[in-house]
Amino acid sequence: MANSLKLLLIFVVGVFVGILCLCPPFLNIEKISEYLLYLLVFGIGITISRSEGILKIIKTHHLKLFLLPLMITLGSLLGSVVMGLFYSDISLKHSLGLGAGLGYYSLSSLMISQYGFKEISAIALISNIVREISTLILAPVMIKYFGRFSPIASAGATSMDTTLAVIIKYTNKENAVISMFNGVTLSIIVPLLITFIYEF
Amino acid sequence: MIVIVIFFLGVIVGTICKRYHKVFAFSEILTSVSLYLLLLFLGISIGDNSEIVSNMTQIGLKGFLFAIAASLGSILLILPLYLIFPKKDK
Repeated sequence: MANSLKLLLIFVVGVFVGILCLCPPFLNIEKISEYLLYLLVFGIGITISRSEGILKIIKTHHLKLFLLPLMITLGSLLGSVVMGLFYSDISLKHSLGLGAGLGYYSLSSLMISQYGFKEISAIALISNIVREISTLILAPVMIKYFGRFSPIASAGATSMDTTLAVIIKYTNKENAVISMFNGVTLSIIVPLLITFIYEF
Repeated sequence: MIVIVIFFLGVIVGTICKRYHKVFAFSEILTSVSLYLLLLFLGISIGDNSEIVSNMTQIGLKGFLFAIAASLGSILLILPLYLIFPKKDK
């Protein structure tokens, strides 16, 4: 939780810098952000390649393991689309974009921002951070009523790192392996899905 | 689309350089520094936009509601999977 709050704080500091117009005008933030995003996804790609053992997990557990990230993705998209029906100012595309974040707050919001939708990007950032924090706080309650997969579902992509600790704590080691597999799979799905939603 | 290409480029480079731990230390620094700067810049571009700033409470509320909707959707759709996955206790 500390990390997501730190990142949120950096964002908030940025908002105040923007409001107070403290930013030097010679900095082309849009252009710099574009290249920084490339650096970021390159680094994320390297980090993901490190999570070996994925093939091993699939071998020992069966291909049906893919059903979990698949259902989580469909559920998030569906939930978001339903919520979007209540907002006339959020189109179907943006509802899908918000759902496609799958808890991956940094990458999803930054990609949406790169497509030029600043307000949706801010909503995506907050929404996906809330997913992480609420999972950290509510994991025991979720497990009690919805079973051992429920915190993995609500966490989404962070089920491989930041929320993994609480998932291990309140379930078992077998579930932790599933949780990591799910997190890696969703982390790959997020950039694909957002590109698909906003470019096609 | 470029983002996807660069993303998989990273995966390929990471797979090739699996033995060199320095590559991973480097990518860790790369991702955190670029992430910090990107979030700072995202904040600045939002703070700079007075229309978005005046909507900030609405944005916060929407973020919260979409989080609940997406989480709940995911939790509900995984319920049938308990029929497929055998229950294993500690």
